[in-house]
Amino acid sequence: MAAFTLPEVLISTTLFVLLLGGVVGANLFGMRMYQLNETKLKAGDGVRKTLGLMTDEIRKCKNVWLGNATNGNFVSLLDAEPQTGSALLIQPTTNATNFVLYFLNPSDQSFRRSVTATATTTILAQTVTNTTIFRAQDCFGNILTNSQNNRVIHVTLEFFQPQPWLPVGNYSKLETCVTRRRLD
Amino acid sequence: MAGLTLVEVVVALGISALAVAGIVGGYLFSIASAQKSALSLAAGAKAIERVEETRSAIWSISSFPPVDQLVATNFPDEVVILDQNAAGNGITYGTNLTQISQISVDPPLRRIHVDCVWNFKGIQLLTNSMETCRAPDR
Repeated sequence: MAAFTLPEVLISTTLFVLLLGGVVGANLFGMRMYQLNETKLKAGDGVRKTLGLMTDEIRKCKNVWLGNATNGNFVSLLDAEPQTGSALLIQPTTNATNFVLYFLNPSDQSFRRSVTATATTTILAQTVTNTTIFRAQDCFGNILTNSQNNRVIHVTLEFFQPQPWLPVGNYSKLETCVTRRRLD
Repeated sequence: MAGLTLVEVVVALGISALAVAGIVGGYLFSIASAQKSALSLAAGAKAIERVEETRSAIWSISSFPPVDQLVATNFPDEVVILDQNAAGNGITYGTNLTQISQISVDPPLRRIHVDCVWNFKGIQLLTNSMETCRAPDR
């Protein structure tokens, strides 16, 4: 029985290498796309849970204030100032010492939640790039200049994460609007 | 011993190409599905935003004079951005269509229905809907 000739072996090996290259290339392509989507979904999932919690808290709260936070200390916006800021203070009841504070910590670009009742601060999201996270608007979308009762709290979170295996970074943005249900 | 004929080689290459194309096609389909899901979530979120805006409209029947901002003319069709790439182009738009109808006069109750209509890759028109009911003086 005759063995394979050298040209036969070379041709079949080349074909095999081409096929293998195609399969590996397809897998690498898929892995890149998977990585890109995984990062997006993970970031999105965590923040969606956060926004869900925040939405519930705003809907049922007694008072909600917009402002800015420095080292976790909240400074409320005054009337006549555009109601846009990096922090949101939610009072579930009329007890002013009991509140939940959502704020951006600019030094590490993290978005945090602080609860006075349990004296805890947790990091909800990282790599947040926008500094104006909250704005209060009326039902027509105009930014308010007072803390009027029936206002919509608009939340915007923008993220940027560099991707080690991709030429471009991953940018994503989440937005939502919430209106307090219990108007006085 | 006879070698492979040209036809055999071409057929073998064709089968290999089909196999690779199938794998790549699978990945492309999965990417398109993920993109569609993301856009669908965004459209849902935009519809919720509109519902929340209608929630903040004043509808007061106990005050004098009564105030009623909760009418469809106050919420015209609105074009919203669902997605755009990092370069700022490749934008996918959606349109929020708002319907407000009176369900009952006594007790007063209105139905708010928001459709976010969007186009997926120019081939498929999709709609995400959100609906709620509202009473006055709230």
